Amino acid sequence: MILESILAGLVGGALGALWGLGGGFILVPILTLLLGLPLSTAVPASLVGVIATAVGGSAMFIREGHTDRPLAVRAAGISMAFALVGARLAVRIPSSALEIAFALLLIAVVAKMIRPPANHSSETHISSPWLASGLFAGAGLIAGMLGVGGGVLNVPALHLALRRPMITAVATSTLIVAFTAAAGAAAYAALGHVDWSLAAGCATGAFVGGRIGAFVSPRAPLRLVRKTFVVVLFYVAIEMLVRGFNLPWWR
Amino acid sequence: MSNKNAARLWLGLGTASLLLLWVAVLFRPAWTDWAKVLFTGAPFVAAAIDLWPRWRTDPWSAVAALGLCVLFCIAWII
Repeated sequence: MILESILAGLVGGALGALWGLGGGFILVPILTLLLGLPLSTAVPASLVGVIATAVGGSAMFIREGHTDRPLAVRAAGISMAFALVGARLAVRIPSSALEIAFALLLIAVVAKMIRPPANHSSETHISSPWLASGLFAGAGLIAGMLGVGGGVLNVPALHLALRRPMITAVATSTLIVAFTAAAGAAAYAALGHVDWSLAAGCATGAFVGGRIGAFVSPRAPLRLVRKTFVVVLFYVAIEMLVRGFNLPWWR
Repeated sequence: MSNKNAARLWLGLGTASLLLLWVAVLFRPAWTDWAKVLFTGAPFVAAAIDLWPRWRTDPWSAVAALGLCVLFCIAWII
């Protein structure tokens, strides 16, 4: 299983970096749908993998001077507190409900990708610390419950609600994800829900895969990458929904 | 701390803690549990080392970094 977990982390980390995500969106479906692991095992392992991806990515962004570190530690306080709540909730919620929640989150991400990118002029920025706090809390909750980084909510919070430039938002979000995933993983570990050999494999693969993805990303055809991303995530969302609702006619 | 040194600190701590985790997973030494704590705690240690020297100029960031360490301890304890 160690070799499979390294490969899963490698693919998750590489595709995550290629598509501008943390890797959890890819890693969790690989572990559940391809390796046949239950979501209760896949989510903690994915969080450990996300720590590795986010730490590696953050080092790169910090070197380039894009990361607002003081803002990241303040935002991470909110995100971490809700990640702990999410991890505690996830061990009490049935696996099928988590699969449906994960599928709905994937559909939301796909919808966001299909929509043409909005031209965020300064008028469209809301500048609301309260809205940003709410988004950070939501990001922590989904990170703790579903094993993803939460960047999908962190970036809008930083870019739209706190008026940070896009590159600063992405870089700062990556650092927040490192803290949030670490808190979620610690909460699962304290409950004894982490398979550490699986998690170490995922972390190693994700660390290396993230660097490969970041290298390939500027050279890859953007439209093709985007289309593949939408198709793959939509397929994974349908698979998760089928598993969540236990629909026999699909198979 | 300069951006370059901070990046080295993050990458160095992340890599070292991942290597320690592998040693713990493969050989199961007496400090296995501590390796797991260190791996999950690496981002907090890096943030505290990175931001604590700013306590004179930016005390809230330094306090926030320490606050994250406290939250991390709570995550492991409760």
